[in-house]
Amino acid sequence: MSETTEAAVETHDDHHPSDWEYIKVAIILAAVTAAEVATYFESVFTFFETRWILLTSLFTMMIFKGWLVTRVFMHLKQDKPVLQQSFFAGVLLATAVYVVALLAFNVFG
Amino acid sequence: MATATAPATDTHHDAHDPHATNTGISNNKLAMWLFLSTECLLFGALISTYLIYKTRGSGEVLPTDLFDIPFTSVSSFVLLMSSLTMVLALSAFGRNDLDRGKAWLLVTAMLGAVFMGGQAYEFTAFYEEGLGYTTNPAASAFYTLTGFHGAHVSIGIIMLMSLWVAANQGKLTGKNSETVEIVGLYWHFVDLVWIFIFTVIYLIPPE
Amino acid sequence: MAIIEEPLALTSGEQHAERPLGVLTRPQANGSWKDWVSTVDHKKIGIMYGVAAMFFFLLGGLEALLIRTQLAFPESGFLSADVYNQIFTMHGVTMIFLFVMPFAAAFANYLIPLQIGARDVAFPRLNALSFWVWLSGAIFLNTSWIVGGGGADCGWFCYSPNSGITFSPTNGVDFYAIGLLITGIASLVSAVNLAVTCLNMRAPGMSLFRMPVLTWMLLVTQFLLAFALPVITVALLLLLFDRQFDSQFFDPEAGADPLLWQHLFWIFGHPEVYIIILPSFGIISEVIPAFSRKPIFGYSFMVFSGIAIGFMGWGVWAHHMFVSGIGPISVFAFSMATMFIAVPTGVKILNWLATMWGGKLNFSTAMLFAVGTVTMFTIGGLSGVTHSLAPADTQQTDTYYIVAHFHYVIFGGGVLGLFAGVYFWWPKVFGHLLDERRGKIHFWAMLIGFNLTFGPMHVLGLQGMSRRINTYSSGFGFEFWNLVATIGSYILGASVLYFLWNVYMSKKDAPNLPAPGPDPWDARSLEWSIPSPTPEHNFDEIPVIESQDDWWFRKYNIEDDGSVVRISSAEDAAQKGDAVGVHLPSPSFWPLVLAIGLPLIGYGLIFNLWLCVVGGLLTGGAIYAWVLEPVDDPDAGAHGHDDHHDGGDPDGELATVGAAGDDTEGEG
Ligand code: HEM
Ligand SMILES: [Cu+2]
Repeated sequence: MSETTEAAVETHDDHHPSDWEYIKVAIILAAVTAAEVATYFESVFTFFETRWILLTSLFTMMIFKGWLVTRVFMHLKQDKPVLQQSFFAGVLLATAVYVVALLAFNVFG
Repeated sequence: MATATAPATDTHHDAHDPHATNTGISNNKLAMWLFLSTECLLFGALISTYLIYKTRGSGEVLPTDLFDIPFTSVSSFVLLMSSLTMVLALSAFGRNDLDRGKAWLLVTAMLGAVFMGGQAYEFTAFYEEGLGYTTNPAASAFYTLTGFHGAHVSIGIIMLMSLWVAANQGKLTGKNSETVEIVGLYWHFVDLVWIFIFTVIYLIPPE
Repeated sequence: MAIIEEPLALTSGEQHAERPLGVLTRPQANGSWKDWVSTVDHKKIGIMYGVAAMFFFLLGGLEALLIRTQLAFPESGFLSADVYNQIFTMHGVTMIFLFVMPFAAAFANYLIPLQIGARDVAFPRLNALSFWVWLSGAIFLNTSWIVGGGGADCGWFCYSPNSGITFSPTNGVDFYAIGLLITGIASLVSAVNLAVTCLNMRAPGMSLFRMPVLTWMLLVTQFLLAFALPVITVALLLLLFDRQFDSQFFDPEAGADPLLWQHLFWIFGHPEVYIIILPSFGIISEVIPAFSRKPIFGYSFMVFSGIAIGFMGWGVWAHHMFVSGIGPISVFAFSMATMFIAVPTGVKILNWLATMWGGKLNFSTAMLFAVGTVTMFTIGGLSGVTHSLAPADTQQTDTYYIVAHFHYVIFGGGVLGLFAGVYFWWPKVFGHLLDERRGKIHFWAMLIGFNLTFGPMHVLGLQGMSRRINTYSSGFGFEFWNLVATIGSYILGASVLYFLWNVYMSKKDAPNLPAPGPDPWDARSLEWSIPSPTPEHNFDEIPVIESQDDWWFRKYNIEDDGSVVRISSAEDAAQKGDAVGVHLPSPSFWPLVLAIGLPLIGYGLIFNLWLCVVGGLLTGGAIYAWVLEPVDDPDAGAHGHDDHHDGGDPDGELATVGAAGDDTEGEG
């Protein structure tokens, strides 16, 4: 990880997105949320009655939203990679450990 | 700045570079990110507990029987938009536009308060339908998880209001906008957790 | 803490504070006891961790002797079953959470900044907070003997439903839950603080892969703590809510699953065993090279195997649950994973041996303890592998064989290593050596006592003697080895008292003996490049690091033909410790005040909610006072609070202190 030490030498890129970019991202987030809620109305969007379609779409949308929030609102796009690494270490560790625990409880059937 | 070439006698050089750390990230910000990554394991445990228990009602009513998706969608949307206003506050402070910054802080805190109001309403409604904290394992797990998230939101609101007060006293200006950024990180993380909870707890219907 | 008045351009060039800004002032050091309770100096905090942990070691040891006295003879009535349960529970909890962890924290606090060439940790006030919160939790936990109707009686693992009100009607388990929650907060704060310190505060040139192995192992430990503590936090909260607010998390009658507790506890619990062992691994990785007169063999293997242990430690927790009915697939997977985790551990053992191989060995007390650590840990690791095989474990689990295993790893591997560190760094911390002759008697007494106590437990376990039970019947062949174990435990206890005697006598003799100088062991890492005891400001100048073992290369040169030539005496190469005007973070009382609030909240939850209000006000008030408290320097006040300067350089350090308040705010 010695490159992180070197990183201090590089000029820091202080460019943050403009307000308009934030608003655009928020609109996308709102739209995806609307799509998420739409899955609830299975009678309208009948294909969501198929469970794997429902689950895949919900998880995809959820991960996409989370990704946008961390990348743009939390500035991981511009910030030093070590932040992203340490945060995703926690996210991935938690996912791995708890998925195994849930498997042991047969939560997924 | 910490580089291998620094002359031994001069430890004072570049002290005014705000990123004079080995990683180039301030201690505060790094600490906040590390703290947030540990929070993943905290919420993960609470969410797993709920998922294990969500059908264990010993005959009583279950949280899943009572979910009001349209209502929760609205409050989720409110929290999501508070992330936008949070980042707009930071951006305003970054430009040293203190009036806008303060206004957005206030709006963010208020959106958070609306979300908390929604949670209070939801809890009361569920309680009136017979789902108490001690009714069954599913209920205990549900209230504990969402209550924990609510506690996080409340702490966030307190921090936002503290920032607002500090800004009014002139202690918070564009020069220390990193404080806003760090509180913002916390706030976005709480939103992030809710994005997860909304899908996994609310939207995925019982089989 | 001395804020020396004369400014010195060399170190920072800043003017010293005349008057603090803001509503609250910060205390100034004046050499009284207040210096200790308001200190934010990582060295003082380290010493306080060490002293307090030693106290709990004696307490836990006393509990151990009570257990062994009860078990010396069959059908003994020395302790009732109820009291026995409380004693063995509190023994385990005390030893793990109140002795080994804080004792390792003592080393981490004292040594990390010195080994990376920093003046303090990243957040000095949070560091003080960690100590006081830990201490308040530790005291809280033990007050259950007095006000809680007795200690917790559910084992340190506290399995449900035994931990529920039905089977444990006193308040002991509430004290267990709240006490460990409080100490958990302390460890979490400290973990984040020390991790940031390692990542951000290194001296110029001290890249991550030039850090000493000890600092590396401590860094891995901090990450393990940071990720494992939230899990036990949730488990303890669920337990507490069950007991206090009638929630239904662990009540099988209501449809809850007691295995939930076991999973959460061991998801924390297995990483926890590496939290216990890795600091000790790090310590002996410093001691063995110093007394073998060789660099550590395979530095990068050492580091990466430590990281690998840290990762793999997360994937084996259910080996504690082989007989709980988790199903054949889980048993198979966790059994395999457990076998693999022995690999990086084995790598470490081989590297220590290779470091000693061909070295000029000097068996000082510290070295004896280090070698003892390696051998005893190997025995414990091997018994661990025997119960990684699930069918074998089915026979071994819940017997004394398990007790033997974990004492060989925790005491043999962990505690002996910590004692190696005590003898090694004592001169650096206190400015005089611990007597070597007495030290060696201490070592041999401890080693013999330890093996007599826990060796026989292998036999007892394989003979089928159950653990966690207050007595045994005669006629099963358990008598002899139990008596041996009890005799061993008394020898062990005596060895600890003899250690304290050594401490006392060495201090008494110190004035008549030559001072140890900066580098008594001719060692390799940075803490030996400054005077003993460490000056208040650590380094006169922050060193610039050019290689691994930089300090050693300031004393020696390796010629082209490979021969080693001394180029400087340690005294000449070392810093003089006479710098003045170095900016140091000012003391603060708020960490202590905040820490006092937490146990009040705890008592409130158990006895009277009004106390929670008092505790909450105290804690909340302390947080706000903390945030508003100025740093003592007008310059840093302006910059620290408004500009957020942070850094490894002396100027930035002060600024960091000012900024720490914002961070606590962040943590709520
Ligand atoms: C070579 C690596 C190791 C292996 C393969 C291993 C394996 C195991 C297994 C399978 C058990 C469960 C036995 C049972 O309850 O039936 C166990 C228990 C235990 N191990 Fe280890 N272990 C290893 C290293 C360690 C280390 C390094 C420590 C601590 C520093 C440790 C501490 C413990 C403790 C405390 C228990 C018992 C917990 C309890 O039931 O109260 N182990 N070990
Ligand atoms: Cu284990």
